Amino acid sequence: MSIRATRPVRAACADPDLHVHRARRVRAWSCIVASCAALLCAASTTVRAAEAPRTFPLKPIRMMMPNAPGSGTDTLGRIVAQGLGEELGQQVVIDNRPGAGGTLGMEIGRNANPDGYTIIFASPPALTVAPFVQKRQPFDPLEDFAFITTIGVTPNVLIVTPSLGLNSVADLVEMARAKKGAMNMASAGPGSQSHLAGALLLSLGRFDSLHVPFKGGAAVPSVMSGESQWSINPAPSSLGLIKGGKVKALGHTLPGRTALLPGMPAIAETVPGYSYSAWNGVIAPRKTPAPIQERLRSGLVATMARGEVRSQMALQATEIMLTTPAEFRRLVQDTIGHNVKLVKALNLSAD
Amino acid sequence: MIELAGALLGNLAQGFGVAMTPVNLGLCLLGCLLGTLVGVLPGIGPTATVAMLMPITFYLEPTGALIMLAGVFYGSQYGGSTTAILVNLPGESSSVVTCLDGHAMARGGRAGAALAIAALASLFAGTVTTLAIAVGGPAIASVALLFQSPDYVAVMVLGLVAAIVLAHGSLVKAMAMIVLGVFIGLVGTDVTTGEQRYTFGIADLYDGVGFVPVAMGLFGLSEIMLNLESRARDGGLARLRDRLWPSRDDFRSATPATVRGTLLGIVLGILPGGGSTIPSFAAYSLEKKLARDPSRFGQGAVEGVAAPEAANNAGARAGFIPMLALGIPPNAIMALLVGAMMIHGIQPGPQIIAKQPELFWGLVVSMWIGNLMLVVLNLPLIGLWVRLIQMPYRYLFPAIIVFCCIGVYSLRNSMMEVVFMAVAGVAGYVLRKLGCEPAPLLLGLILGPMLEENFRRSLSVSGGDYMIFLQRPISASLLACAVLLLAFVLLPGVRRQRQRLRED
Amino acid sequence: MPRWFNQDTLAGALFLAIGAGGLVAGRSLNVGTADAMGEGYVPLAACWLMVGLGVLIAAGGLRASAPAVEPGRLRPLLAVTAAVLAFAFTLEPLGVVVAIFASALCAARAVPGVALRSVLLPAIVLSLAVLAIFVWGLGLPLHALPRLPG
Repeated sequence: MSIRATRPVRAACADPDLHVHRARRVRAWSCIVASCAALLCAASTTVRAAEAPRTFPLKPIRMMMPNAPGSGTDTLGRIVAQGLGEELGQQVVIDNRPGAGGTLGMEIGRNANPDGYTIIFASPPALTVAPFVQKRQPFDPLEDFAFITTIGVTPNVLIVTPSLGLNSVADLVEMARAKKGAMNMASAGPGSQSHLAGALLLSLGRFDSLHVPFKGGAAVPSVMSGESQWSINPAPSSLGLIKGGKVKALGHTLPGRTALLPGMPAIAETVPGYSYSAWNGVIAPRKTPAPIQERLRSGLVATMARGEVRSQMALQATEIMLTTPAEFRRLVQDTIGHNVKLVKALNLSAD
Repeated sequence: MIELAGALLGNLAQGFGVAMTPVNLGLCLLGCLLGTLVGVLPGIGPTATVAMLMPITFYLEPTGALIMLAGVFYGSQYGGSTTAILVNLPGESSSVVTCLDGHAMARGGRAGAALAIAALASLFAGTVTTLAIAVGGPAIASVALLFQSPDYVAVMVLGLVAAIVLAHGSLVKAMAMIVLGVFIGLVGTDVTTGEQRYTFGIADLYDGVGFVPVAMGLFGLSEIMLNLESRARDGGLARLRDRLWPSRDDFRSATPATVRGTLLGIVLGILPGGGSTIPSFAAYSLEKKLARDPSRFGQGAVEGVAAPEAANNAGARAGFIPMLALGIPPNAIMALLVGAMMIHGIQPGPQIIAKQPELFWGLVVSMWIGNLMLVVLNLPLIGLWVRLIQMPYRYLFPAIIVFCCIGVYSLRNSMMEVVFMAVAGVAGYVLRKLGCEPAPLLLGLILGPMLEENFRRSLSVSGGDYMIFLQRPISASLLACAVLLLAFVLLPGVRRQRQRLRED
Repeated sequence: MPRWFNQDTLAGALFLAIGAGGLVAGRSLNVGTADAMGEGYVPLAACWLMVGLGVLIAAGGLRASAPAVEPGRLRPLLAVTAAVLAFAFTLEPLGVVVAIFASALCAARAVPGVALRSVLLPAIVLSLAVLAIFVWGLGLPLHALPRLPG
């Protein structure tokens, strides 16, 4: 929430107001506003060409965050912003623009000046789901952005109410089939990762449950209280509760075992082919100059190698994953492919 | 009993050990100071303040950072009450009620008394709630787990009924305002189906209408319009009476109200979904019901400031417990604090009390110390605030407008939010001219979406059977309370009395 | 003023209009059933309630004791609204300083006969305060001056 977009370098420009002839008549006022504006615009155009990529960055960088402050993605973004700021020697400030499934923030990022001073912290919901659920196509996820690098993958975790006595994914599938779908699957809302990950499990595991959408994080307490029997949620939000015995974890959504979640099986071990995890990465407006993209990329690579960043990421159960721009783009393409299929199957799309 | 007391003292002693180190005390004071200074700006509520000041704490060690953030949280909350009292601008939902009588007191030249009472009432509530947490501690958190959707519905209904009682004009108008608030709250993307409702293609509406722009417009802007209409614009907003501090009479009526507000705040604050909004509305309604002369309310009754401020603080603090013990953030500000904890390597959850007791109790105690510092810090500032609103109004109101605009803009960094505030301002002006009070609308706006979400979920889980609300003991008893309360309001005797008051 | 022109009849008519407007604007919303409510169930129910309450309130306005509408003045209403809107529409393209001046100039129109000097001076002070607090102090993503074109 705290950024400087453009440093107030030309504060002296405010002066024209002072020199304006002292007019008493009311009508003069509108002219004053207009002329101030004109003067200031004129003054600012001349400074433009001064910024050469070699000296990038000269001022704080704004990182668009299409998620609410305090959300899981926001927390990851703040860790990255802090480290990247220290690497580049300029503050990287988070600009939270949640709303419209994240498309608001993405759009602002896309339309920003492509000078490297605006970058976007991207994750699948805003980049690969929301544009296909909404009636208007707010942006083209593949064509409108320059892909810098992914920073990590965060698994989701399948949690169940402990008192059900379920011990494995197979137990859950069996119980759901026995109950003929009279079970509740909590999600963080229609089209959320939690919903899509759950829907994928229902379809690959061939069982039924009633989808009970919640607003964001409230899905987890619903599993705790037993109102819903199961839910798939980002690992960071449920790890504390799993350790505390308030919910039971049956598996995670990475394709295979991971050192981040020791002892926890992958859902794919029971339901072959199952995989649904969230990557996070940094993208920039399409026309950002290549040398600046490269500078950002090297800064991010160095950030992700920092000791404190690695340990903070581990605490978020996030596996660090760096990719080349081409790999990143392919990843986005694949994710869109999977999600569009799910969105269609769930009849979520707007038309 | 002795065991209990021993555990209590042990826990608190551990907490004091952590919180009383000079560094942590300093951080707490700094947090409070920054929080107050930012929170007092109109339009900048606690959530925005915490988000803005969070990066400062990244360089601190975890306990110190959280202590400082707790200071920021309390400071900004009190700063918000200050703006509510001085210029009728509620920066967050729980200070809506404080506006009603707090600002009326300020208009009557008693801003100093209102600010002092608010500070002291919240300190009292903070002290009692801290003790309650130390005794009940983790057990309180498990109450949250007993709650399911139908129970949430019942809590919301109870809260809305309380808002009807709160109205001092026509009951039917208050009900209509609540329904209007609920309706406005439903604008946006439907949580269940993902469909757009009443968004008319405006992307800024997809996430619904924000509380702050509506509150700022309905209360703050319409207030400015009415002031400009009626008052000598060269004078200040309020005269200063001869005394700055509350009188003995003020204390006599504020004390029992504070005690009741605190108790109500703790009980309702523990209930999930209540937050600090329902407690403050409920406490105000209770005081009005108990008062010998309810017509004083809205005209600057001291109880109308003390009780909701106490309830709000008690509720906010009781709400901290599920956050710490379960890691479930009940609102945006708590979500930010959870995020801050995670960045500092602390995983909130049931094991936090057992594994990091020094952090847990340190935080509980430092919240109290933060509260104390707040009072110490703010009592001297009261004189300054009071002088501020004596500035000639023609200089003051453009500044208020600009601060409101910046505050509202910074919530989502969106100019549309500022436009919504302008619309709400006009609406507030018209509604007030027609004798409709804005407070019930705001409660409807906050509770509406939660009510709908849980209502639908309840019926979806029950397969469309409305009996689910009566089958669960928690929801059944809460709904019974709501019905009783409503019956009480609608009873002929009470109604006659209200009628008479209206005609006076 | 005719006797029916009072706070209650007007408020009732207002709620009636909002409710009816909501029903019309929301006619394409899906109502669904109790166990699978559509997105329209609760909002349309709220609209019907508003229509009903509106009628009740308006009926109350037929009593002789219904409170009269206090006359208002258009000037403060328009000026304050204009001040907010001016800020909203100038902030992003022209920066916070221009927005403050635009807002202050509009606000000053609320009261007749204010000299330009007594608007500009406070606006300058206010600009400096806002820059110091929000832009430099808190680092809000506001830009002080007009944004670079392009």
